[in-house]
Amino acid sequence: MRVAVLGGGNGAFITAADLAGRGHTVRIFEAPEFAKALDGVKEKGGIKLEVRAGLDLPQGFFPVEATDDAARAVEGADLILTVVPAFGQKRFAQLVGKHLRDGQVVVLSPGNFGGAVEFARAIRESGCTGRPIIMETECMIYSGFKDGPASSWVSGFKRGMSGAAFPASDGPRGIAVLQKVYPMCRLGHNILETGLGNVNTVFHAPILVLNAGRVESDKDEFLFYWDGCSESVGHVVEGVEAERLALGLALGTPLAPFHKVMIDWYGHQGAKGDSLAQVMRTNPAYEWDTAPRGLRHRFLVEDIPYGMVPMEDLGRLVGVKTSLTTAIIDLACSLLGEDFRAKARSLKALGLAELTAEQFRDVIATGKGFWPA
Amino acid sequence: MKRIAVLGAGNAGCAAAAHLTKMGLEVRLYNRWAAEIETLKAQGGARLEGVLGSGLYKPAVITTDLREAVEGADFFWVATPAVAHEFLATELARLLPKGAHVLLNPGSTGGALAFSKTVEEHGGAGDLVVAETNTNIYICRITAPGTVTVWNLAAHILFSAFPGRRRDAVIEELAPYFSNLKAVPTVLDTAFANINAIMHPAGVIMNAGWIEHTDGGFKFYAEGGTASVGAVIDQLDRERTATMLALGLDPLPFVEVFYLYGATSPQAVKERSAYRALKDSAPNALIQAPPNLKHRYLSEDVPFGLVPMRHLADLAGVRTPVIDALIVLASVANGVDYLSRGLTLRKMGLDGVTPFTLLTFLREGRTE
Repeated sequence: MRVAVLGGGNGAFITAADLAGRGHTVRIFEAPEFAKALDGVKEKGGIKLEVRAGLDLPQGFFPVEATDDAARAVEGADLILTVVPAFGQKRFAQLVGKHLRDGQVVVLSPGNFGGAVEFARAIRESGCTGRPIIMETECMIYSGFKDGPASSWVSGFKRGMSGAAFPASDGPRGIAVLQKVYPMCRLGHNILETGLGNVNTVFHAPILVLNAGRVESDKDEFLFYWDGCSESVGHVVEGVEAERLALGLALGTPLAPFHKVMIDWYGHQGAKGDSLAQVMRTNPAYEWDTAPRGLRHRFLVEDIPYGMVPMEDLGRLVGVKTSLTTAIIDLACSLLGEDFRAKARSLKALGLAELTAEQFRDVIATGKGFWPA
Repeated sequence: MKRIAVLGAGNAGCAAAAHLTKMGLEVRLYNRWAAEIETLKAQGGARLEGVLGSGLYKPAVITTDLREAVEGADFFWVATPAVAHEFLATELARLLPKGAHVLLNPGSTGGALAFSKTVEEHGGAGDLVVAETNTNIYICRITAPGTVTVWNLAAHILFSAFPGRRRDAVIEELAPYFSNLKAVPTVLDTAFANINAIMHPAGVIMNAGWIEHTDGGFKFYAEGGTASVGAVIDQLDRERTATMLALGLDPLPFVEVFYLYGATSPQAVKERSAYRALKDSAPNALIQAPPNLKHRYLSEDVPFGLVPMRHLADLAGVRTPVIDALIVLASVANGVDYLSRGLTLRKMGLDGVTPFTLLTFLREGRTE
């Protein structure tokens, strides 16, 4: 299959290499302002993939075409995987929007809340006349990182992921294509399920805020989950998780509890535990995950405006209290002197602030107002 | 003031008992539990070390019998943590004479108001004046059984009383013995200047993982008090001063209170930076982090510190996102609903009070 990978960072490299290693024809494209990230790939003509023992992924050097031409990147691609941080998604929509054709499947992996909605609006505004299918997944299926100009390392591979489309009704057609590269991927009901299914939102900021002094003091290196998710920190994470589940119920989109999800994803790597926190702090896949060395990190700078603030927003929409989520947002704003709510991908930023809960759910299901009838 | 009942034989109580005895007053020392006063009784008194001199000072009475301790006393010095105030006020209610002078050293936040309310609810004789300080007059710790080391006296302590019109009578009694008392108009001025409440919960919550993972294996201020943690305390301070202003009080910024206390540099005051204040704080440089989150830095300083501040902010119509966040996170960490378990407006006797009648209430003890 022809696959385009948009992005030039950790996730994009691993994705491109893995798919190429499994026989797909892969092009990788990065935004011009970051095009240097692909210099190594251009020079070597591909990306090397090294994989942690026990994971069933191809290892070796695999051919990947790096291009700085947005049209060429997506031309003829059946699947376009956008593997970039949430704040970069709109930019790619603007770059490739007018080149997208009917039936091409774009997958934001992960979407983060509202990713597909923002992407759909942005490609129309950028002159897209076709009717692509826009999907998101709730997470990135890999964990790992880019470790050289043309190489990457995979430490974890989730056994399972879900993808949903915006509008939800496009889901079945979209998932059929996505399953060609990720057969374990299941169809989610809608992008509320994927948007609210990102563990980053629930795990990252609470653990970082409750370890803020240690991170900033930089006195010693410590493991983010194994050391950082101590007993009380675990209670806070579980409290935010409870708020997330309550949101799902109130939105009419029941969500899979993260405790179960973590076992599904990482059980094959040895993850276990009676509670979510217990699983996190002993998960073998997190063995080398060291804590950030400073607070100005995506765990706050991305996960608050693109994850936690939307949760708070949705809470107001459907009448669910989000005191813990709000507490973490307010402390993060205070720690960094930033107004994350102003920069967030809120319902207002998505152009959906004036809707009732009922109208909002209708837009999510049908895409009303985003696509021509 | 001749015969003082010192109630509580912990750090603050032992220091007071020894010091007041040294200064020639008759001290009657009480502790609820026998274990803490075993050594004191065996050696006949409290051994004092540090800046106030060394020596063994013998109170007239050392007892677990409250009635015995308060018999004939003309001044009542409460030196327990805030969590014990309700118990003590309940037990003392029928024992305090009319017009009694009580001092809470320290008062925590709202201590004088809550103490007064509890005594009233349990049949107190009336005309009570409850004075309080914003933090302990003594910088001290029990360093061995029966021995208290006083490293310093606070340079300046904020002092007030409820009702406010009786404040000067109490200060006059204490003035011959303490030259570091700075009178402020109301017990909310002292309540909001509760240094512990401003510093401790923020430092604990933002180092919660570090505390639990290492059993408090780091320096609480010197290492845990980073610039961003300081920024959070600065924002907490802004919420606190906004609340005070909205209630018609005249706020002192935290760093200034801390400087008056003698704990930091004038530069920190100029910068108005909590981070700088903690960095420049010699007495706090070696303080170790608490070993867990059950410690008084949360279990006292949230319900008897941040919670009453938050309830007062509600009264004032001021939003307090950082104070709220710390209360919520502390509550989840310790499985206690601090917002309702801590000092509420009702427990402080403020439930019938509005922002318009507040200052009158604080001065007169009633709203008309």
